[in-house]
Amino acid sequence: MPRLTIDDIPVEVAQGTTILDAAQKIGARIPTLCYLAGVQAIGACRVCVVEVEGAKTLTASCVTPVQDGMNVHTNTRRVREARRQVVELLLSEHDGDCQTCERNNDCELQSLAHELGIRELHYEGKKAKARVDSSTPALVRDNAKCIKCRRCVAVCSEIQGVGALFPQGRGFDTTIGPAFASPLDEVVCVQCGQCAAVCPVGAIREVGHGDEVWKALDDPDTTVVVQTAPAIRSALGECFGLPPGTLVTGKMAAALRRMGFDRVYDTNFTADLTIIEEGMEFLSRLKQALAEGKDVPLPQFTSCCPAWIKFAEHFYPEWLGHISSCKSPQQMFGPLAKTYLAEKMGVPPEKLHVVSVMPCIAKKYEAQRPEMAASGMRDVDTVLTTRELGALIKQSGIEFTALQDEPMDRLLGISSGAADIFANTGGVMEAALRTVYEVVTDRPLPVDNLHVSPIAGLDGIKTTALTIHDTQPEWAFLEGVTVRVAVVHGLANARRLLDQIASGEMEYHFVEVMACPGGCIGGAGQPRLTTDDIREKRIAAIYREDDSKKLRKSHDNPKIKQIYGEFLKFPLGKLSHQLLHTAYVHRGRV
Amino acid sequence: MSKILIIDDDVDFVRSTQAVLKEEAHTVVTAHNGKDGFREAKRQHPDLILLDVMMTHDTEGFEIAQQLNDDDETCHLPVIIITGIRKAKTLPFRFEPDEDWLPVKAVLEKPVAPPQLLKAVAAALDQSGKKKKS
Repeated sequence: MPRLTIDDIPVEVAQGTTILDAAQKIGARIPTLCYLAGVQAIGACRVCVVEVEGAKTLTASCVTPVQDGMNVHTNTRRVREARRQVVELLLSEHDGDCQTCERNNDCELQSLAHELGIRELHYEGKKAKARVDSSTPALVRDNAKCIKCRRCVAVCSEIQGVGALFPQGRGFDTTIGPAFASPLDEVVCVQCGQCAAVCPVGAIREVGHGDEVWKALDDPDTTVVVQTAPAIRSALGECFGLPPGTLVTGKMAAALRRMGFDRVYDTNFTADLTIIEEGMEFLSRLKQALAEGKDVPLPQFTSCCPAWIKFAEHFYPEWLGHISSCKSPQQMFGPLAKTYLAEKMGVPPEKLHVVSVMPCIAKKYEAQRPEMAASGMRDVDTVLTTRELGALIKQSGIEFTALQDEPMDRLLGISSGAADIFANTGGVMEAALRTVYEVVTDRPLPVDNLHVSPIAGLDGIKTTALTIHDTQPEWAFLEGVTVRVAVVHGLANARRLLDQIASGEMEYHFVEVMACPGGCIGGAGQPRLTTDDIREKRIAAIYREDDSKKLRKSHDNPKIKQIYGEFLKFPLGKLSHQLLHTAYVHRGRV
Repeated sequence: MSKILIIDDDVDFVRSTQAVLKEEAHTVVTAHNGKDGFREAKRQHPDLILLDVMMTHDTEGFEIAQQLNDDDETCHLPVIIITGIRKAKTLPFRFEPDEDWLPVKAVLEKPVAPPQLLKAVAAALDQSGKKKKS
């Protein structure tokens, strides 16, 4: 193992470790900008430069491996001046309307300028011409703010396997964007928003719905109900300085009431409903395939993630029949709110405004898909990201951390722990297995504390198998059958798995796909910047929420029984198909 | 001896249940759909109602249970739901009494064995008798 000194402190690290990572071991923080742990290390921005004794020039620490005997200095005058100069040059061409920029106080360039002590700009550069692309429902791009760090390019191609964004041109004229400067809606963009999640500045961001939400809340003739996705509760606290993984379910409900929402409900409720519908759809497919010998599409793929759906519609249209016809929990909530809930509340559905709070940017796109109007109107009216909700709570003057916990409203607000874990990669599959196994055997899923550990955690592709014994008589065709499942997160991993399945290399019955790394807890609408360490903390918090509940299985949720008893009648029935199921579109590559 | 109203569109089920209850010296009145059942409940003032779920759509048992509970004349009447809905519709759960929407004493699944039926009937009558006394 190489031994070196960093800032005169001896350190020994594994061969191949970069200077940047080695410095962390001794508590020396080297600023970075284009670097993105686990995604991109290209040494392009030069912010992370350090001085290595004997080297002619300063060295980019994010791409330079340590060598035995190296003496590194991370904070010399030369280093500080070089970093400052690099950032000043970036600022000289940056469209710096900080006060009105959405990224004000959440901008890495702004933070760096502050950290490096930049108090005046020595260079007046030519500004890039603003070219705002608002062609898609979920994302806005503004080239004038782009600092060409290429993080978005790396995440789009390497993590998501999409490749919608490229650097084009040279020098000052370099632009980042879709090929041939096309608008985003003319290329294969799946609207996952991971580009916006990793953008250090305000060059790519979500389409904001905050003003529309205020308008609805301020209108006395409009009844406003809100649904909050499972992943919000483990991350919203970060907007208020709480550590990642702090559960704020009760404070969030209290804050939403104070903001003026008439009912505070939980997307968890429709996550439980999704498990009933999707689980029964899965059993129905198994029955057709195994008992009736029909050629039914298997494996079944989950359908909760709108970016995955759009990805499949563009790249794998031949697989669309395999994707569950269930709408996502967000889109199950919308039509139920505008039919069942509106009637219960005695409110005309056209006077009911449904707001979603999602950890996701693609949900904004999903809510505007033309087919998402099963209630006869737009089912979900506005979609806020976790970050936007954090901003709205601040605008309300609410001292979030001082709030007392409050429960969600009951009717569409009671949920099981199985719904909570929808937030995590592997969670939808585990929730489905908890129900499906019990339906078939009348016994609980035989794993420790109902957790299917092989499909939890941050590995990109996870698999497990479960052999079913002692079935109930009506499920006898499953006796001795080994059900194989797979879980992927990150669409590049989905691509790998799909190719394995297509080649016959692997065979599964049920596959969960979530586009964002870590699942929805790592969604593009969550507080920035989500690292693996933060993902793990949010995941742990979600499992804590699940473990703390008496109700752990979707089919035990009494409100699920009520909505079937009173309204839907039975899973996969006529009303379910009308309101809760959907169909997909062949989109092609361009 | 109590008066029991059976509301069920399955004639064979009504006949066999009637026989089981008569053995225990109960008086049985019957109705074959929800609407008639609701009317009979108001007219006959039974001590207990056995209620099916899946009858004709507009007189489905869950709705009748709520109607009975909402009506001043019938709200005190104990109701037991006896249904085959779970197996018929492949439901992944069992319905249970629920104060928010299913105001009944018990939910039994068809086919129900006579001892199980009589036990549930006795418990419901006993409970409502005690309630009346108190």
